[in-house]
Amino acid sequence: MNPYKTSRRAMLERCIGNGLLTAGALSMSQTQLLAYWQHAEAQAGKPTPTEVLGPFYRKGAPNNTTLRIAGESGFPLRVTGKVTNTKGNKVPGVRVELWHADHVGLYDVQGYRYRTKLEIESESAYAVETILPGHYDDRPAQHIHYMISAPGHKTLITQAYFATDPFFDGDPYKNYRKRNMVSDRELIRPVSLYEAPGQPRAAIEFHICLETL
Amino acid sequence: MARQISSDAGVTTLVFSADGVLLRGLCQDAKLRAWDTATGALRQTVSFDEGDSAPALTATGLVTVGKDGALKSWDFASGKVARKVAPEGLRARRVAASPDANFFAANVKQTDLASETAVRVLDSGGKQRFVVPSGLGGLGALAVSPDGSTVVAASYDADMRAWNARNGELLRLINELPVAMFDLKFSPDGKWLAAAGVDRTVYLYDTKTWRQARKLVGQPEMISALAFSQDGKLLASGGFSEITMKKPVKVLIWDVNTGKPVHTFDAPQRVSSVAISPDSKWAAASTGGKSIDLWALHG
Repeated sequence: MNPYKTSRRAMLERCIGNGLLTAGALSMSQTQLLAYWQHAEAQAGKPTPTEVLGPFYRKGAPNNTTLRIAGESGFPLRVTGKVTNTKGNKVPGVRVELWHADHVGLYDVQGYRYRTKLEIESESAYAVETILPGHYDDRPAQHIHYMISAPGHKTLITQAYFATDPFFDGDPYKNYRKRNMVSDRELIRPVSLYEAPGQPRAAIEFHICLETL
Repeated sequence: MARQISSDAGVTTLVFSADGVLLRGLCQDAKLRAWDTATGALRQTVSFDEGDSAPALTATGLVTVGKDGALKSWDFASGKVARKVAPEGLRARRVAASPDANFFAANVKQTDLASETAVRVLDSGGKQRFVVPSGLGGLGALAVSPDGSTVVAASYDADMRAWNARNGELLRLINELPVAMFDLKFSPDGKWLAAAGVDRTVYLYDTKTWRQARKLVGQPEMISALAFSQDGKLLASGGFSEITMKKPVKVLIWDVNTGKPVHTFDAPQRVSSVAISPDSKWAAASTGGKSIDLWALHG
C-alpha cells in the first residue's frame, strides 16, 4: 500500500484497528500519526503470536457472548477484537473459542463457565462480556486462552494478557519474560476503564491475524 | 498400613520391577534410582548423560533424549546405554518405547504449523517408519501397547489417536472426549486402554474396537497418573487439584470389573506417578517430592 494515497481517516482506522490508538486520541500531530501508522503497517501483515494451549481446553462450549452472570463476583471485562488474515482481509466463517479462569483463578473443569465458542459468519469481529480472570498459583499471570479457526487458515492457539496485571511489576513490556510467562509482548493488552451505568468495567481489545493455508 | 521410601531427590515416575523386588523411580537430579520394595534401601543409581531430557520409564527400560537429540535406550542391569539412535530432524519433546525397545515413538513439533505436533516412529536402527500429525497444542500422554502393535497419543486439544505402530495407519481418532487426558496406560494383556485427565474420569477403551467400554467416576480432582496391576484387575489413579498442584489429593484404587473404587489414600500434592506391585500387595505414588508413599492393599 502506498502511504501517500492513504487518507487520514483510513490511517486512523488502521491504527485503531491495530490497537495503537484509542478513538479518543485524535488530536495528535501529523508526524506522530505517521509514526504510529508506519508501526501499524509493519504489524498489519504479521500473524498473531502463538502461545501454549494449556491443559484446560474443553470441547463443545456453547456460542455465548455473555459469560458474566449478573451479581457474580469478579470485575466485569469486555473483550473485543477483529479477525483478519495476513493479507489484511476479513475472515468469514471464523470460530473463536476462548476460555479463562474465574475471579479466584479456577477453571471450570466439569462444565462451561467462562468458556465460549463464537461462530462469526461475516463481520469478522467479536465482543464478549466476561470478568477479569483471577490469578492461580501454577501460572500466576491473568490470561485468556484462545483457539481460532477458519476455513483456509491455520488454526491459531494463543493467549491474551493484561498490562495492568501486578504480575508484571508495573512494567509489562520489560517483565513479560518473567518465569517464562509470555511468549511475545504483543499479547499483553492495554486495559481501559469505562463507566457503564452503575458499574465501572475493564475493557481490552485483542485483534487476531490468521495465516492463510 | 502406609509407609514411605525416601529419596535424595524428588521422584517423578515410578515402576516396579517385573518380580516386584525393586521399585524404580525417575528423579529430578537426572538419575534413576532403584529401592528395595520391602526395606526401602537404595539398591542402584543410574546417572543419565549430561543434558539428557524427556526421560521415559517402562517396566523393562528407560529412554532419554540426549543433548544432540539422540534417543537412548538404557539397560537396567548395567546402568549403561544399550542402544542409541540419532534421528535426523526435529527434537523429541516426549518419547515412549516398545517394551522390547524395538522401536521408539517420539512427539515432535511441526515447524510450519506452530501449534501442531506430530508423532514419529523410529525403528531401533533410527530409521523412520512414519510421521503422523498428533493434534494441536502438544501431547498430554504417549504410550505403546504391551505387544508393540499400537501407538496412542492424547493431545491437549482433547483428541486421542491410535496408530498401527508398523505403518502409521490411523486405527481410530477418539474425538468424543471433552477435555485433555494427562495419562494413558494399557492393561498388561493389552485389552484395555485407560485414559484420564481434566474431567476427573477414567475412560476405559476396548483396544479391539477402540470404543469406550466403561467410565470410572469418583476421583475428587483431575487425574494426572494411572497404573494397572499386573493381573489387570486393579487400576490406580492419582489426583491433580485444579486449584494448585501443591494441594493435597487422593489416590484411588479401582476394581476394573465393577468400576468402583476399593481404596482411597491421601497424597500431599499433585501425583506424578502411581504403581501397583506385581503381587497387587502395594500401591505406590510419587509427587515430585523426596518421599514415595506406599500403601498396603488388603483383599
